[in-house]
Amino acid sequence: MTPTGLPAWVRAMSHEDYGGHLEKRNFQSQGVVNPRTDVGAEALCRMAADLEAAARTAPWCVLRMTVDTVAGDVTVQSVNQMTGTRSAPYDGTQPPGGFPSVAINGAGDVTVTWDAEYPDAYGVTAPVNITHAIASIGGNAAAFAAWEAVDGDADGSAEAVRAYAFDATGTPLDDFELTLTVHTGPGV
Amino acid sequence: MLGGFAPLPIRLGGTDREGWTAAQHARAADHLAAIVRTLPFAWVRVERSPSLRVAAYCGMDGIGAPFAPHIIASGAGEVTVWWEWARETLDAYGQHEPVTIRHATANIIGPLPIVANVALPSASRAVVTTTDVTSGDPVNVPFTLVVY
Repeated sequence: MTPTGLPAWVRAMSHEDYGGHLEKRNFQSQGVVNPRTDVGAEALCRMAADLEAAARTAPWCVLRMTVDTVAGDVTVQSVNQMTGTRSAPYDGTQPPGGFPSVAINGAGDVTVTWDAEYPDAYGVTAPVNITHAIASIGGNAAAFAAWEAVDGDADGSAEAVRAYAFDATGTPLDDFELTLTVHTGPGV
Repeated sequence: MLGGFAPLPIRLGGTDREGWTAAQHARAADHLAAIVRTLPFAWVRVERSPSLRVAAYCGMDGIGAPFAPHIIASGAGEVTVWWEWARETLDAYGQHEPVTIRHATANIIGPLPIVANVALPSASRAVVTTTDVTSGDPVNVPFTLVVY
């Protein structure tokens, strides 16, 4: 059985994928008799509409990493991704399957790369195309970050984020903790 | 379907207008699992005027003041926000789990060149530091904190 529609990160969802329908009705117009045991058409449609709304804006991935550009070490501390979560830290250069890799480009400069596509829980695959992100520096020292999307494989969909970390004077940071919130849009 | 009376458990199938097919249910389940993984746990707006307070709280555990975390001014330009371990988060059905914060971001509210940074000293605590980038001095300003 293949579910209707596409994985959430493609942002092509419709309430109809979840069972909603503009002309939904209870069978033979019989409404809910006992709300403790019955689920009516009205509730199902509300669930479908709200799920459609929430799925449009939920991030693709939120991750936090610690970086030492001098030593060349990058550790991904935690990942919340639509396809899975991971709370055990890992070496960014050797990511476990399904989780992004991190490469150090220089002082205050890293690139986070995901696979070009991922499968959902039912094996339906869809490309990752990064369209928005928020990059922020952790800790208690004044610092800030910037980002840009990267299409490393030139397939028309950006599957990577290059992030830049600066101190308050605009100098690239050697050591920093970076949090990325990444959002995707329709793939190419 | 079971006719006019349709008690749980729901039997999947039927038409688009009067049913809920297995494929539709599966897609709903898949998307719900996906977005729950990445949605924020809470949005917290902290104001300084007339005094330090949580001005708005939207969390998975609830909306508004009754669910807002504790906050204290822990230094110049520094605010500590924490969710009590003892107050384990309850869902709508009374199931509870402790709050475990793994990511957080913050932004100041206002038109000034002030940067906000967040440290996570523990799983239930976030420390927000706000600094004027032109002077390098800590400043007390309102901010928005998002935790995951």
